[in-house]
Amino acid sequence: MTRGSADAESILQRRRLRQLIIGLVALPLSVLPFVAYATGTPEGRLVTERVTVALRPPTLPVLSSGQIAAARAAAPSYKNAVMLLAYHGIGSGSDAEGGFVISPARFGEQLATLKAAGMHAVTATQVATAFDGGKPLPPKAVMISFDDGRTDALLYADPMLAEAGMRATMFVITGAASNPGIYYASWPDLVKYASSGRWDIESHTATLHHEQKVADGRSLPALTSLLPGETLQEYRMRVRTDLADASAAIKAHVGTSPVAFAYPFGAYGAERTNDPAIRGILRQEVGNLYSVAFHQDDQTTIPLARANQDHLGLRRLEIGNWSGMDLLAQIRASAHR
Amino acid sequence: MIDPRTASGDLASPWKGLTELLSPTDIAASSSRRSPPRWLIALLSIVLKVLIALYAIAIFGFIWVTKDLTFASLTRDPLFAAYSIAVVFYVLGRFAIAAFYRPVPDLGHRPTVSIIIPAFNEEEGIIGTIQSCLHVDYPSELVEVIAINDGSTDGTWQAMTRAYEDSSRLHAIDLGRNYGKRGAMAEGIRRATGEILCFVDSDSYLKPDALTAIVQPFTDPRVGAVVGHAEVHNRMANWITKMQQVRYYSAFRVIKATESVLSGTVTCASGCCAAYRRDVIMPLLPGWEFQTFLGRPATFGDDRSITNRILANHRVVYQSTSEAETVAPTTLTVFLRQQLRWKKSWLRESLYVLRYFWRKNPLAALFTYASIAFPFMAPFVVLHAVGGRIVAGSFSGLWFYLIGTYSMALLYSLFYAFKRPDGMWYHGMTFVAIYMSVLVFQTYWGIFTMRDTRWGTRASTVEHAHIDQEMVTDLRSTAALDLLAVPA
Repeated sequence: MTRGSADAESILQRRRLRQLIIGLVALPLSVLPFVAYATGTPEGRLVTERVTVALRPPTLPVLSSGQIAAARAAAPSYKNAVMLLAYHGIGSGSDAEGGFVISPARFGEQLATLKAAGMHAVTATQVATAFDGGKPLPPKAVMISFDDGRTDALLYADPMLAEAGMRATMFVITGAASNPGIYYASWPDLVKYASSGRWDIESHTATLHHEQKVADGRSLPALTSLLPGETLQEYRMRVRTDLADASAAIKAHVGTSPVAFAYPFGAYGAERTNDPAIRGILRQEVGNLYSVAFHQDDQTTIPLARANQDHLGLRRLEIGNWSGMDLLAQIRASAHR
Repeated sequence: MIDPRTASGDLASPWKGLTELLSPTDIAASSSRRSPPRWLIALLSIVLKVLIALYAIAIFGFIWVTKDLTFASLTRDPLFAAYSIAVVFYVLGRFAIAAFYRPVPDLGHRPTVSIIIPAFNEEEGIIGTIQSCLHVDYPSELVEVIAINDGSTDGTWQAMTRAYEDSSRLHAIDLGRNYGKRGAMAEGIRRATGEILCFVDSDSYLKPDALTAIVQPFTDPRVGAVVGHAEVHNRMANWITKMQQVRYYSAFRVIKATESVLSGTVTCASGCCAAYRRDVIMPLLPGWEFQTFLGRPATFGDDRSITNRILANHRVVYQSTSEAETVAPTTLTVFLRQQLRWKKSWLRESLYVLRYFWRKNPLAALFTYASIAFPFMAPFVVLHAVGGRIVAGSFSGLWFYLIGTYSMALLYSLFYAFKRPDGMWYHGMTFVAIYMSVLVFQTYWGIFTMRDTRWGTRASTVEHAHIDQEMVTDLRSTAALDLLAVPA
C-alpha cells in the first residue's frame, strides 16, 4: 500500500466515522418535528390529549374528610329548581375560539365537590320534562352542560362523569359533527357517548354557529341578525330550516329528538341583533321545536332555574377556572337570589 | 450448498462493515490504535437496532392515533384524504410484503455467462468495471466478458485494448461509430455465446460473488430476467450521492423485493446489474433495438423497455445477494436530468404496462397500477395541501400533511438505518424533500418534453441505425473460449 492511498484510506475512514456519529445523533433529533406538532399545533395537542387520556384516564381527585365536610356545610339546599352550568372545552388550551376552556384537574375538582355536597346532576331532557309538569327534579339539582360538541370536552369529561356517577348534556352543532375534523366530535363518537347513558345530545343549531357581516359592517351572531338585504320572512325561513336540520340530524344519528336548545354565543336576540323583531321570531321558531332553551347573559345575577320562568330563556352560569368550593359558593348565591 | 449470507441472515452481513470501519485497515496506524472488541460492537448494534425498531413502532402508533383525522377529512376533502390513505396503505403494504422476500440461495447452478459492458466515453471508469467483471468468483471457463466501445471520442477504446492485452478472457468490440446504448447492447447480445447474458453499466462494479448469485434464480424455468442489488459506489462523495444511496437501498430492497415476491413482477431490471436468459431476449431484440415512441427513437430506458417485453410472458425477479455498485451523479443538475430521463422512460413504458399487467398477480397489478396513478395525482395533492392552505390561511391541515409526509419519509429512512449502520439514513429525508418539491412535478414536465430524447448525462444523440459490420473491430483472443462449446 503506497503512502498516498493509505492517507486517502484513513481520510475516508475518518469521514465514515464522522458520518456514523452524525447518524447516531440525528436519530433522537428526528423526534423534534413530532414534538413540535404535538405541542405547537391545535390538532397536535388534541392528538396528544387523546393519547394521554387513553394511557392514563383522568380521575376525580380524592377529597379529604375535611374537604368533604366543608363541601357539605357549604352546600345550598333547594327543591323544584335547578342550577344550570355551562361549559365549553376541557383540556390544555387547544381552543379555537379562545378562552372557554378549563383544565381537566379543575373540572375533576368541581365534580368531586358537587358530589361531596350531595348535588344531583340532571340532563336538559329531565329539566324539560319537569318544567312541562312531568317527573319532578331531584333536590339540589344541577344541569352540567357543554356547548359545541367538542372532542376535548367529551374526552376528558366522560371518564370523570362515569366515576362521579353523573350525567351531562351536550349541545351539538350538527353541521360540525357531520364535518368533524379533530376539534369537533363526529357522529360515530357522539353516538358512542350517548349510548353510555351519560350524555344527553341536544341542539346548538346546524350551521348558524358563526358570526356574519351585516349591512352596517358589524359582525353579529348569524342566528340573531339579518343578512344584508334579508327580509324578516327570509330570516324566519333560514332559522326554521336550520333548526329543523339540526333536530333531524340528531334524530337520525342518535335516535332521539332533541327537546332542548342552546343559543350560540348565548345570543337570543335581546342584544347583538340588527332588528328588534328578531327576538320574537326566533322565540317562536325555537318554541316550535324545543321545550326548553338556554342562554348565558348577565353572569352576576343568574338565579336557579324554575318552572315558572320563561322556558325559552333559561339562564346558565358560565363556569370559569374556579375551585370546587368557589363553584359551590356561586350556586349558593344563586339559590339565595 | 447454502450461501453463508443467507444462512446467517441479512442481519450479519452489513454489520461486518461496521467492524471493518472501526478496526483500522492502515497497518502503520493499527499499532497505536486498538479497535473495540467485537462483542461490544455486536451488543451496541443490537441495542441500536432495537431502538430503531421501537421508534418505527412508535411512528406506526402515531399513524394509528391520527387515522381518525384522515378519515374525518374524507368528507371535507375526499380526493386528498383518499390519496393520503391510499399512499399510507401502498407504502406500508410494500414494506409488509418485502418482509417476506428471500433471495434464492446458491443451488450450485453454474450456466455459461456472457457479461456485456456497453461503454461510451468512460475512459476513467471502464478499466475498473472490466476488472471487476474479470475477477468475479465464478468458474473462468464459463464466463466471457464482452466490452463494447460505442464510438467513444475519448480514450475508452485504448483502455479496452490495454485490458484485452492483459487478459485473454476479454472480448473487446469497437463499433467504429456511435450508435447509442441500445445499438451497443444489441451488438453485444448478438456476439455473446453464454446461456445467460449479464449486463453491467460501464460505471458499475460487480462484487466478486455477484455473478454466482444472479444466475441462481434461473433454476426456475419461468424466470426470464434477474436484477441484482445496486449500491452507490461514490456514496461518500457528498449529500447528493448519500441521498441516492438511501434511495437506491429502499428502491431495491423494498420496491423491487415486493415486486419479486409477487410472482416475479419486477418492472425494471436496472441496467447497472441485470441478467437475462439468452433464449428469452433474442426474439425480442429487433423490436427493442429499434423501438420508437412518438416518432422518435427510444434512446433511453433500455432496461425498463426490455424488462417490460420479458415480463409480458416471463418472471423477472430481484436477487439481493447479487451486489453491484454504480457511480451516481454528484451534482444536483445531473441528478435531476437523470431523474427526468428515468421519468420519461417510465412514462413511455407505463403505457405498455397498463395493457398487460392486469393478467399478472392481482396484488402486483394493484401495486403497479397504483404506482402509475400516484405520480399523476401527486403534484396536485402537493399544491393542494401546501399552496391551497397557505392561500386560504388555514394552517391546521398543512401541519397534518407535513407531519404525515415526515412520518412516511422517516419510516423509509429508518428502514435504511436498521439495515445499514453507516449513519447515512437521514439523507433519505433529503430525498423525500427533493421528491416532494421537485421530482413530483417531473411527471408532467416529462410529458411535455417527451419528444426531447437527449440523454442529459451523455453528450450523444443518435438516430437508430443498423450496425455497419464493415466498421466493427472485434478483438477476440484465439485462446478465448467459445461458451457454446462448453458441454452443458
